[in-house]
Amino acid sequence: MTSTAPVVRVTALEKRFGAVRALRGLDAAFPRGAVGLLGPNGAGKSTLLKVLLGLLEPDRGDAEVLGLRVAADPMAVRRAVGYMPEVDAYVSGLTGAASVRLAGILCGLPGRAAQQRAHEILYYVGLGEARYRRVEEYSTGMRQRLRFAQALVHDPELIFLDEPTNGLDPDGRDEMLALVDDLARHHGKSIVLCSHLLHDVEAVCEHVVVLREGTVALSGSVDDVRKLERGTFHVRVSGDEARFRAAAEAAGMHFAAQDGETLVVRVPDGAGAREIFRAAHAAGCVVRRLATVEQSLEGVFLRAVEGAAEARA
Amino acid sequence: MPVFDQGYRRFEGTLRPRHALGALVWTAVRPRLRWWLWLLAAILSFYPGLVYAAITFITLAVGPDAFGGRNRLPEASGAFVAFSDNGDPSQLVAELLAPTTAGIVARLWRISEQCALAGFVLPAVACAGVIATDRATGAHQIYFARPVTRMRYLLSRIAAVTVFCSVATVLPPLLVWLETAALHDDPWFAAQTWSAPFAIALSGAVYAYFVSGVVLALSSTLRRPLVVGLATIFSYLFLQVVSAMIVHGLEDKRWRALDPQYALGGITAPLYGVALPDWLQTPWPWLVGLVVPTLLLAYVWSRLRAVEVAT
Repeated sequence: MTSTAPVVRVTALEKRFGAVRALRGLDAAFPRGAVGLLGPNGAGKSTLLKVLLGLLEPDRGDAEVLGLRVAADPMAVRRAVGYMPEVDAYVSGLTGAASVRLAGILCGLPGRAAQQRAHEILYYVGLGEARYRRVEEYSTGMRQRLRFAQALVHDPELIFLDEPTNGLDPDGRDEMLALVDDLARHHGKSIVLCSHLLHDVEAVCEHVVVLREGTVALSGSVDDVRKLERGTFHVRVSGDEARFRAAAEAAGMHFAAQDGETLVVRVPDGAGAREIFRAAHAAGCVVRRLATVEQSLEGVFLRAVEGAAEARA
Repeated sequence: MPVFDQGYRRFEGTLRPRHALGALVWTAVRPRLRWWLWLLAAILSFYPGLVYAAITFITLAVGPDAFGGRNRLPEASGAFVAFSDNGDPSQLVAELLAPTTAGIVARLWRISEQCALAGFVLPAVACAGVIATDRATGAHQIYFARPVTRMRYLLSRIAAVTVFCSVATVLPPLLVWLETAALHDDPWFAAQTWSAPFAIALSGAVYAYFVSGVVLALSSTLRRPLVVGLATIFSYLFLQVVSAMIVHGLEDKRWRALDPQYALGGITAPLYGVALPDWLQTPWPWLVGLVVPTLLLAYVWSRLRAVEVAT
């Protein structure tokens, strides 16, 4: 596999649970580096991760991780990647060091190397002083770090992080993101960060994949995706709002969301605020407030979610 | 910050595909090795073994007159003549006073057979949470998101139950065999009874298989280890009581095979060259001792599949 090849590639991936289609012919490629996997509940993120780890067999389609076909050798895939689960997970009765060592051994590290790596990684994630304490005595944040250490111990090229900052206080969250950022930027790790916290994804990821109802709603670099937010305005008008909407839509504008009396209006490429004033004038309305939406991932994500809601309706 | 003042270091070696079964077994056994468990093991498992060991020592080291004749055997030994129709201890006394090789080997079977309850209680106490705790703590996510197959995980749990079951069903007869070999007049005794350790190990495996089926099925279904332990012991006693009631109600001894002690004793007896009474020479011991745990383990397998997918 060349260094530019995607670390994850899925082709026409389908997965059904009875009548529910969790993945609908999903096609996606995750480039190297830190990639944010976003999507509302039920979008198919967890199903995709399970398929990539070989825990679920897809009904159709193919998945490759680090050049390895998941269907052909799921154990090789699990050995090659690190996985940090979202929910609490520990082996009862073990110390932090023993837990990380166990994770290393399960992934194929020799016993002594696993022992040494366990200590190193626990220092790296900030649990060096607590490594001989039983995991049951750890706080939520410490257990979060422990799971991170377990995902890292065998030095995988690709790490799946499922909601790594869940339940952390602001300092803990910043430290966790700093670790993820350090791994991605300075140690060449590829990371798939599955999160519903857009701030986390914006903070550390270079690419983003947004899932919606089992398909890719949006995919690209964070910078490119942010650009999609250009041409979006918060608008408040006085007068007949329905007429304003009709006039604006006739001019090619879209209404993304509504927050009280404030409308979120997206104008076509090449257009600007002037078109909004024209539409208001044509509808006999007065624009009372007009502000550009700050370029963030949030708007894009919300649009993807709303697109799903509209499709359902 | 930074929290990572030691920095991240790459692993320079190579990962090797390993079964890691030993590590899985160890993580199941290690947290359960508590001092009070050893005390329980000693009380439950070695009581019959210790009595036999003492009798063996006295008989072989002091001589046949130690008990003043065959009718003055300590009362406790009467409990060990399980398959004797009338519970007559004289058969055992005869073996002890005039020990034949076959008689001594048969005695080893009696010890393991008498330890059946201990072989149930000890794993029930120690291993009740072997799957239930993993479910409660999410440990399955640690295993199944790594190259651990369901089969390997299940084998590791069976091995953990086997360890504790063997403390009760293998260790006592094995120690008595070693003691007998050490004290016996015939220096070739160990060679003459070379198959005994294998018979002990095999019968221990039969006991462990049965206990694994029950313990793991309950542990994969119920949430609280305490409930799992109690349910395991209850299931053993329940089968014993039901068996006894049917035997008395129908006056048909073949129903004894429902009792795990009789069923497992019946399966393991041929390993020691012990002849079974007619009423136990039926397929029922095999059905109870081997088919039932196989079905229970198949159930555990399906439960683990659900857990694996939910990882």
